[in-house]
Amino acid sequence: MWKTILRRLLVLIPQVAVLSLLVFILASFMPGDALTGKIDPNVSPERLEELREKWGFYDPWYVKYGRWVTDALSGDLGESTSYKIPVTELIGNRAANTFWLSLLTLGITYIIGVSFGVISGRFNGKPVDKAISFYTFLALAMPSIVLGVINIYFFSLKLNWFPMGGTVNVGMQPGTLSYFLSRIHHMLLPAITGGVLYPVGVIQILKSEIVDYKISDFVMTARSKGVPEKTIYTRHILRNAFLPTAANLGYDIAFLLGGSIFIERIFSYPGMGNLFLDSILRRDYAVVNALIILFAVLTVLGTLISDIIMSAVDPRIRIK
Amino acid sequence: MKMKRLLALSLTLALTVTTFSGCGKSQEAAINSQSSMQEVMAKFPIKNTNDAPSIKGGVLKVAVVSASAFEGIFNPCFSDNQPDADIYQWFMENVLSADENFVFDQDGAATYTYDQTAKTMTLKLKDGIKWHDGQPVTLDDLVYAYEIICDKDYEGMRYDEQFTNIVGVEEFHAGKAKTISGLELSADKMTLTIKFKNFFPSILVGGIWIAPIPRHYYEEIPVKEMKAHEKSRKTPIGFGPFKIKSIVSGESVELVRNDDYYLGAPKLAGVTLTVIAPDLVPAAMEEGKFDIALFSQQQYPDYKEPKNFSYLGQLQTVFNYTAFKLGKWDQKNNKNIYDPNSKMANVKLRQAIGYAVDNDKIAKELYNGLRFLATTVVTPRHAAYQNTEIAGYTYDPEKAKKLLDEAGYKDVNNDGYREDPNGKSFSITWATMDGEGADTYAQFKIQNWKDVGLKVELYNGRLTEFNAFYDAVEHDDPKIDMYDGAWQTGFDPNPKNLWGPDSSANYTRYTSDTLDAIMSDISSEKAWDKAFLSEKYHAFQQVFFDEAPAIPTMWRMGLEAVNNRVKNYEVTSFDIKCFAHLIELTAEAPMKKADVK
Repeated sequence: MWKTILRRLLVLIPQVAVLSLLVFILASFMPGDALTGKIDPNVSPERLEELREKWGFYDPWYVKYGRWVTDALSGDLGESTSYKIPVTELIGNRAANTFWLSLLTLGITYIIGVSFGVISGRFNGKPVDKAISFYTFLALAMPSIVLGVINIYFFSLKLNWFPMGGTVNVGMQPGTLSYFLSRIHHMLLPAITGGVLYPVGVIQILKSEIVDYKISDFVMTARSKGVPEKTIYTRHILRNAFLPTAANLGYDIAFLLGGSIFIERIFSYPGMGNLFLDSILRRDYAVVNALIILFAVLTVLGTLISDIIMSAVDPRIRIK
Repeated sequence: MKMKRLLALSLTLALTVTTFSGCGKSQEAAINSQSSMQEVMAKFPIKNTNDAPSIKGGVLKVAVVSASAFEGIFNPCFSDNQPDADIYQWFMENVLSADENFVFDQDGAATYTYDQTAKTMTLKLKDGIKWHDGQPVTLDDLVYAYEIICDKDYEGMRYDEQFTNIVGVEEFHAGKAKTISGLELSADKMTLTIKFKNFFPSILVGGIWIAPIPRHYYEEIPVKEMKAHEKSRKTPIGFGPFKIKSIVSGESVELVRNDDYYLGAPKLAGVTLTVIAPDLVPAAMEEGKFDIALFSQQQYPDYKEPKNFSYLGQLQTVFNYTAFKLGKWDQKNNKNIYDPNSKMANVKLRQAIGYAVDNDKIAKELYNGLRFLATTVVTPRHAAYQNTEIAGYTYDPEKAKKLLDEAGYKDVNNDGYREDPNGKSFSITWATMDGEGADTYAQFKIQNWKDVGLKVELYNGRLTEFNAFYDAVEHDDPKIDMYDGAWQTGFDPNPKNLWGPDSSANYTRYTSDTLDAIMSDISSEKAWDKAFLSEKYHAFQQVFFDEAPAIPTMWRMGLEAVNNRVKNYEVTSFDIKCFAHLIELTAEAPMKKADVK
């Protein structure tokens, strides 16, 4: 298995190379540059030329790409033109915020998804299943930006239970317990917003798997042997039904760092999704390129992790 | 204060649906618009009134309205975004303040004199002003700011004409001189004489850099590293009424009172500034989450009669316009070249396009009366220079039709659209930006033009994204005949950088001898004569109106919502007037809607 993992990681290298090339070529088609939104008529055109020259805007894309690759190999992803700090530092700050928020969101998603999925599968067709189906339709139909605004309106403004946005209260000292609690407090509402919308997939897959296994031969056999219903579920049905869900977990790694543009935006949460959107609008190429490549690497890694999980939980599958 | 381009339409998500009905007619639109502007101004005062007894101290909660995290560059030499500037103005102050016409006055940290014949300006700093770390402020700190911006390693937008017009700056920038020879500091570092190459009145209208940078604090940090350094990011200092206590990167800033402030200790104990998404502003104000917040024009109609807060308003130095592409930019010689054979070169055609659109109705209905029909490209905020006799391009479709007939644009094949004077089919490509309400705006104007027989089509068949729009307009995309934009002019209404013959930002590429002569008069030394300057400004606006390289369409009012517990607040920026230390509160917490009966 280690060989497989190593091979998969090696395949990643040409994948990233091709992707980064594509990103660079496509980025060169984007109209405008980092100075477009900031041009001040008092600044002479010579000065703008001087800056564009200095920042290498006029170089053809392959020169830019070559420069980017050499720098990237030494760990330098360039400097953000709007934030004016190194891209690695900028992404580092944002990634931590997004990681914790996504982890909490994912936790809520799986708690709701797994428990509702199991209940729904076990009591298929009963009122409780119908209620859960109704919830999944509602969650599927509700855009996160709408639920975000509704949640802020009721829970932050009317009931005052949660802050309106941000990651921490004004004036908290990092490292203290109150700082930590304030961060959790700030994450809860956005995490709940995402956490109640995302489980739809988990619920549906789990439910259909359980319903299928309920009438499968080996379950019938177990039942006819007089195995208690509880054991049938824990030993026979759930173990098999969880497989696709477990496999999905790997893909969520990409989501974990990608962040949600909508939720981060409405909650003024400085994370990766928000950064990605801002960077595109401001033509902050260094950040956009770095983020796209990062998302791609995460997706590939997520697939790999999914495969590993699959082989770990299902002895029938072995990656070769 | 700098000029900048604006989105023609604001980008908020307010859920306002506006329908245009019928077609209004008004010869007196300009007069109506003027009177409605007066009414709106009367409705939104500049200063708030609160007679309740004030409490001791208290923390003012200020909203930084922004969809994204603030960048957090608290060094005016490097920062080029609004949220950062909104924040650092509370703790960083300039050495000069300005009067209501944006002319430098003697009320700030320094006083000044000038000498027209010697082409110099002399600043004298008041004694006893201290940086937040206790070190005295000197004018050497101002010199330091000049040295940063003019440094060859400086990568920012500030190095412009303002600097290159000072003697010795270009030599310094090229690395030929160690100091800037045009900046002469006295031995005690409290007096600074600035020597200019050309000395004209615009220099006194925000025309010099006045934000000092503490030299002792930055010590030996190279200019290259300064923008990312933690002294610009995490622990910036100024000499303003408040000082930094803590910063949460991209989200919030906590400030506390600076007891050593030179105009007297502030009344407030502190200020917190927190980023909030624009969509949440109205609800947050009603629930007392903030004391002060910018309020968008789209959100206003649903909150016309607030209980726990009130509105303050101020005319902005912004105008929207429809402009025409009339030539090319000559990159080699940095000049605009007018093409008298260009598609839109017929002045009657341009005037007709102006008269055909009911901008008054757009202002009233789409912008809820918070924008006004613009009659000239000098905004009413610059009242001293404005020519109020110009009626502007008010809605008059009959006049538009007549002008088109005269110019030879007639509908020869009866398809409802006019053909060009040669009888060939004629359609105008118009670029306009995407944004909230942009669709209604575009369709309304296209309909107005259709009503007079002009076929107007959107550039690429759709609304254009901000960056793509300016990229195309700036590079003279030959497909564009006409475009809608907006400019914020800053302190100085001098038109030469927007419409001048050698300005690359004059995207119309239009030049004319009369217009150019007037503009060079405005920037000449003769302009020290106030009557001469005023006459030239008036003439400029008249000629601009007659030749119509661009049609000014709308001016606007900026709104701020202020909680009822705030006392002595006004919407004037601290760039102009220092009054932050006088702000008081009359309750411990911001009032909520539910608190007010």
